Order: sequence, then C-alpha cells, then structure tokens
Amino acid sequence: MKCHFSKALELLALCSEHGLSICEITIALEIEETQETREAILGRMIRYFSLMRDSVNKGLAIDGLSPSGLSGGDARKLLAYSQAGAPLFGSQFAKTIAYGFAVLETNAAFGLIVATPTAGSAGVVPACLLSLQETHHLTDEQAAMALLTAGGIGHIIGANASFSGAKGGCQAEIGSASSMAAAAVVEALGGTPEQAVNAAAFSLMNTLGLVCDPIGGYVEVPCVSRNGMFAVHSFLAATMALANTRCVVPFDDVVIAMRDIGRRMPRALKETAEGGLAITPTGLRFHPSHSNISSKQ
Amino acid sequence: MVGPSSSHTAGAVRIGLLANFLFDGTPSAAKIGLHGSFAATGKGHATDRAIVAGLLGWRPTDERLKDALALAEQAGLKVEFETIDLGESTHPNTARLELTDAAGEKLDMVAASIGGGSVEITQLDGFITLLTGSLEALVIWHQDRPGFLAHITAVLACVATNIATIRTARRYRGADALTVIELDAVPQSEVAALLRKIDHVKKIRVLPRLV
Repeated sequence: MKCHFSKALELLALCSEHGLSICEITIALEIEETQETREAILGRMIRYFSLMRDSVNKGLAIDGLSPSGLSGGDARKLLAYSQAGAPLFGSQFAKTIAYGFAVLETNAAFGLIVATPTAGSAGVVPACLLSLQETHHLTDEQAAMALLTAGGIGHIIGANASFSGAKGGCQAEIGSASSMAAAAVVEALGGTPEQAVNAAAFSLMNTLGLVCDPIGGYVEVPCVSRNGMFAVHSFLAATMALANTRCVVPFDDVVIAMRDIGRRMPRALKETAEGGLAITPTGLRFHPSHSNISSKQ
Repeated sequence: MVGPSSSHTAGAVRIGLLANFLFDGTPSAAKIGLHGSFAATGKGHATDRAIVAGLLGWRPTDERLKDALALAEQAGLKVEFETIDLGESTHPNTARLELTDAAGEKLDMVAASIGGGSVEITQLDGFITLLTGSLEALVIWHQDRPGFLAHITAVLACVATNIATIRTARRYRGADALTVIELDAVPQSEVAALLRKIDHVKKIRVLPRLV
C-alpha cells in the first residue's frame, strides 16, 4: 500500500481512499520506512507509553527542587488539589495539568522521558493520553494507537516546518505537541480523520507566535507550567473539532504560517535566553552570566 | 531520553555518538565549539555534558548523563569548550568537534541538532556533506580517481544492498575526497573488508543507524 504523505491534504486523501484512520495510515508508513512488522511497531509504542506513564508517576512524587532551584514539587501540589474538596471543573482538570507538570519536573531532574516531539514539550501528549485513559478507559494498545495518530501529525509538521525552539520559538515545540495531542485525543474518541486534523489546526493556530525565552536557559520556567496548560489546550482543540466548529484555515496552511513566524521571530526570543522572561530582573538572577548561578553549578 | 531538551540534550548526545562512531571510539582530547543557541543556553540545557556523553559512546537514554564531565575525566577524555560563531546562515544549534588521540587519529566535524533529537552532520574533515544517522551509513575517505565510485557501488550491488543516498566531495581534482553513502540495510561484515581492498580507499567507517 502506497502511504507516503507530507501534507495533511495527502494524509486525508489516503484515509478516504482506504477508509482508514490517521493512525492506520501512519502505521502503514512506518512499516514501509522501517520494514518492521505492525506488531513490532505497536509494541514499541506501548513501551513508549509505559515510559511516559513512569515519567508522570516519577514527577508526581518529586518533593524537592531541581538543581537550578527553578522548579519541582508543583505537580504534586496540583495532584493534591485535584483530590481536595471541590477542585475547579472537577478532579480531572487539575489532574491533567499535574501530569503535564510531572513530565517536565522529571525532565528537569534528569529522569528518563519520551521526547514528544521534544523534551521541552514532552508533557502534553502523555498528560492527555493518561487523562483520557482514566476517563475513557483506553487500553494501553489504544493509547499506543493514539501515539501513532500523534506521530502522523508530527510527521507533517516535521516535513514542512520544525520542532526546534531555537529555530521556531515555543510555537514549534508546544504548538506541535499540542496539535499532535489534540488529533490523538480525537481519534482515540472515535472522531474522523478530518476532525483530528482540524483539532491539530485549532491547536496550532492558537499557539502561533509563542516565543522561547526560558529563564537561565533552563527548560523549567515557563516550560513546566506551559506543559500542564497546553495539555488542557489540546482538549479544548479536540472539543472544538468534535463539535464540528468551522476550521477556516486548513492545517497545512497553519503549519506554513508557523514556519514563517518562526523565521521572522528575533533570535533573542528563540532559545537563547537573551530576551523575554530570561532578561526580566528575576530572569537575570538565573542567567548563565550571573555569578550566583555559576557558583551553583 | 534524559536531559532538559531534545535538541540541546538528546540531539547533542547523538552528535557526540556519531563522532564516536566516526572516530571508532572515544578520543583522548576533544575541543568542542558551540554556536548560536547551543552556546547561549547550552549550560542550562546540559549540551556540554550531552556531547561528552555521546563521545563516551553513551545513548540518549543513559541516566549517567548529568555526571558526564566528571566521568569523561576518569575515562581519560580531556574536554575543552569554546563559543564559536559560524555565521547567521548556520543552524542555531550547531557544534564543531575536533577530536584527537594519542595515536594521531583526528576528526573534525560540524553538526546541527535540528529539533526533536534529529541531527545532521554538515561538515566532516572540511568536506561539506550531509549525514543524519537515520539510516545505516558508509563513510569513505579516499582519493578522487576516475571510476572510484563504480568500484564501491559494484560491491554494494553484489550484496544487493540498496543505496538510499550518496554524496562525494573533494578538495580539488585528484585530491582527497569523502564519500558518504546511506543504506537501507546493515551492510554484511565482509562488505567493509572488501571495500577496504579497493584502491585509493584511505579509511572506512560503517555507521549503525541511530535509534
């Protein structure tokens, strides 16, 4: 089966031609590219999902601060809040945010994580899928399939733009992660390929322009909180797509817009710690050139 | 993976690891130049430790990463870092690695980490090239001679190994040259031995696919 695609338009044409989901077309592409069996590919994804779950659990247990002192212990607080009396919008809302935080806190502590698609955005997809597993009782195999849906969307972004914060700002990282997660959520809930692609478009178009200005060059502030928040963002985009709200700009165009904005974005706001939050009075206290922090390392 | 950033850490480990494969082991000295965002945020992102981890032959999932600098010293690898500027058109996450060992072996490599842990070697011993590590690869240092590539491709044809990409660069006519061949399968062990017998081959490295 010929299953190569680099645009959402081509992916949707393949889905419609074969009557298959994004996930199944992505599996076919992966089989073609790696010459692995379907079972081997699914097995690999189930392993990744299990690593993701471990990285969430590890992060939820973190009680102390990261080596930089910028993060740590907040995933735990969010989890406690989700289990308290009357958490806002119910328990799952705070829990989803906690899971996103947890992966990035594990990362800041040099624990093992799965870059989906990058380390700085690695909390979004696991937070969404683990949350969905709790609310909709997905099996690990269904979660693995959802990871492949996410992979199909990521493949399009990688082919046409970039995941790199240094190249495209945070929109390239968290924007990619949340559009991958949004599409994965839609397909896991039985949505159509069109709805999944629209969810990716909603997610990315509402992330455009986001800069990468991490304090001290550490992937912690604002990255840890951003991962929690953008897990929710993915659910918002999935909700809009499942409700069939109009997606005026197709996903392929949004990806090109993201690439264009990334190219025009000043270097100081692309993972150089030379602008934005990194050079606020607070940010400067953690700047690599600042004596306090260099003595800490 | 382990470490803060897929491009600044996991990609950086892979750059170091490819250098380790090309050097055929850990060098005794490494001068590592960091360009752009690698230089600006490399410390917080542990880019320095990541490249060294790769040079030691570790994978991006190795949890010893945060102690790489200390462990390199124990392993007899002397590391020196510097900030470099390779110009506006160079990818912001680029490193230059100059490796040496006591036996006089040398390698000079420029590589970029292009996002999500993917990497590209863009220069090798001064030759412009492109090597991503996403496929098995043969890297051949040789002399520029008529018919040279025909000998190489003939051997690969005999073992029915498909060539995905092939790039040759030379200093000038008849001088040193470098050929990088990406393959769709692992070349059988006897292939490298056969290729080494071809006239004008100076050095060959068989690189596994990075996973």
